[in-house]
Amino acid sequence: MKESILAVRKAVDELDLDGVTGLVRACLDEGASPEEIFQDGITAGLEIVGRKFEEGEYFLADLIMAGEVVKEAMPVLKERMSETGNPGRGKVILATVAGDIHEIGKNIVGMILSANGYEVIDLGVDVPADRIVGAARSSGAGLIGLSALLTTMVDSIRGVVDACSAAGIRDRVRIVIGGACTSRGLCEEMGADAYGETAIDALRIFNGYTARP
Amino acid sequence: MFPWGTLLSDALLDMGVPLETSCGGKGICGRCTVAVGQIPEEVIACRTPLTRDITVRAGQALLEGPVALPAVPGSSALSLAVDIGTTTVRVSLADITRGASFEIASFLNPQRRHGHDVISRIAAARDRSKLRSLQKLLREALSIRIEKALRAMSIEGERIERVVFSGNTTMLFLLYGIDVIPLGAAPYPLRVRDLPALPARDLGLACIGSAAAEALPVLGAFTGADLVGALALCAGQGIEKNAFFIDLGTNGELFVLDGHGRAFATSCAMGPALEGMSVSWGMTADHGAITRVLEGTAGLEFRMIGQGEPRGIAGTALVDLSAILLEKGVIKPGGAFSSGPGGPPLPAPLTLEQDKGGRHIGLWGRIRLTQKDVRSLQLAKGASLAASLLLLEEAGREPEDIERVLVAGAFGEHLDLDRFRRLGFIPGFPGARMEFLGNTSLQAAARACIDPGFIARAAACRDRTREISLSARPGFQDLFLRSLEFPA
Repeated sequence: MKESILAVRKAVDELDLDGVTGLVRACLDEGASPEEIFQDGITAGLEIVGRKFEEGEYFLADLIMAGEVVKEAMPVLKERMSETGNPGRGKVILATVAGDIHEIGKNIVGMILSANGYEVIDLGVDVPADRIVGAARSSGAGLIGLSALLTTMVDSIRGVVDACSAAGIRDRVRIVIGGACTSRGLCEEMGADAYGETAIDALRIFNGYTARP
Repeated sequence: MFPWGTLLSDALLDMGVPLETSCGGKGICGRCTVAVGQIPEEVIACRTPLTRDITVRAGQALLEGPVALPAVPGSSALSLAVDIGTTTVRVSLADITRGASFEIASFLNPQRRHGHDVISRIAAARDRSKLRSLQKLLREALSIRIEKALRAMSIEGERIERVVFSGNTTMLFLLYGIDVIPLGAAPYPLRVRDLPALPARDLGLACIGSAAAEALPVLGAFTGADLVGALALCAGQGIEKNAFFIDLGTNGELFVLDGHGRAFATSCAMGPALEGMSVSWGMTADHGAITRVLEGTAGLEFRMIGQGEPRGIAGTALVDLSAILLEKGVIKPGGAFSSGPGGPPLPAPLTLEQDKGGRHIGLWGRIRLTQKDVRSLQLAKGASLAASLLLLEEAGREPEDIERVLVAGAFGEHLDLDRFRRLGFIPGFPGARMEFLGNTSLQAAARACIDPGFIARAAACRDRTREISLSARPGFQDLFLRSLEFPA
């Protein structure tokens, strides 16, 4: 691993908003590929941020700052990526499920995803299943992220899964759930595809779906 | 006594054994570990269903409410006041003739086997059998505890003239058998705000069957009889304007009286950290709980309930400890522990430790404060401060305008207001007199027993109050995130 890429990873991990762009440039100048910098620098740095968040060392504001750091670095990378014809990472629909109006977690996920090159279509809170299906159809998005905080509203997740099936798009969308009342067990129960405990977890899952061979 | 399959933790809690279930019965915190059988084997009680008769060694003896009950004159007219908290239920006896009341029983709400917070109980209520169980558990526990307390005081059930309930909207609805499902989904509509007067036997309280049961009125789904009761108590004390009130609990409830005496109320989800839940070594203010942390000459000292090894820390001690560590720079304003060499020294006997789950501070014995515990406290503090600021804005008041700050909470112990203020749960309020009132919900119910016009006046206060919904407000998210930081 190049020293310069490790420096990018460290800048993301340590939330160095001012330093990150210069460090990414230095990597490119040394001949590192944008993909390599993105994977081993930025994404790996975010993994460390995610671990620190899980352990309590970092908190919500730090996650948001990590998103800012990545957002700061991405334009430089994107320039080079488009030179090599690299498209974005795909469209993600985000929504807080019907009956629930809590949005902070969803918004942080949205920020981390868009910083990482996803086109985020945020439908807001208390979103009925048919609107989510409608958006998936009209945008062609293959990724759906659902947030739920209230234990009372978990059935709304099944509502979205069922609506996707009824609309005949279930096999072309991946449904990822998260939020205070969700769990891996709930994900299976509701017939969703994956559960993300933190925003960084969600990023990891979506990256797994969009990874090109 | 218990049906096979009942969780050992539920059975022990029903029997009054003070078991800690900090993780909410997920089987991850290990705090409810007990020794089972003749050759003792340790099991996690919240993961162990009963399949046979067993002997359990749970360590502590049972603690049953207040120990010394005062004598009541045979001529006094008597009523009961009941505060149904999500976590704890408290009962007071009101001597109407003498205009006095005192607590005679307190017990953990047995509904907690269906979840620790209001929302998870509403979710459970969608299952018909669980709904029946929620109502039955509460009614039976009330009936048994009231009967026992009265018997201990040699008071006949027929002497109780009235019983007045207070508590959050969900708890009252479950007691009365009113549908709670609508309370669980935004925009949380409410059909009933004044509960009917009934004979107590209709609420399953056979031991005081002929007493007239009444409840304080509620305002909204999350602004319950506890908040309305506090409003009426304030009005009764002549507190009419430029006042700020907050009742600290899993669901924080707040109101502000503006310069013209209009009331604005709201609620915020603070989480159970101050009640000792979702904190690794948190516990309610029961036997073995550290309730205060103080600075002594040789480092930190603690006060606890009872004797022996402390078993955990109550919310009041968590506030003390966090404020002291913040003041010493051990906790940074952002909430992280400061680490590494050159950092501020820890007061004795505290130690900073690291394991694979993250960093924590060793306190006394096995008790520790983890980095995540501080985060739980910050979530409570962030919600409380953001709600306070928005409510003040809605009422057209600046913190400087507020003359009285009233802090309530069923902590079972006195909350140190200076420490509480240091953590920034509420705005600075530079010109205000601050008071800790304790359990205003129970106090209001007791007042309603003594003062027959109280419930009607409470309803009138309620009707003058505007309920504000916070999470729907633009700017709430940013304000909440900014409010997570402790004051520097």
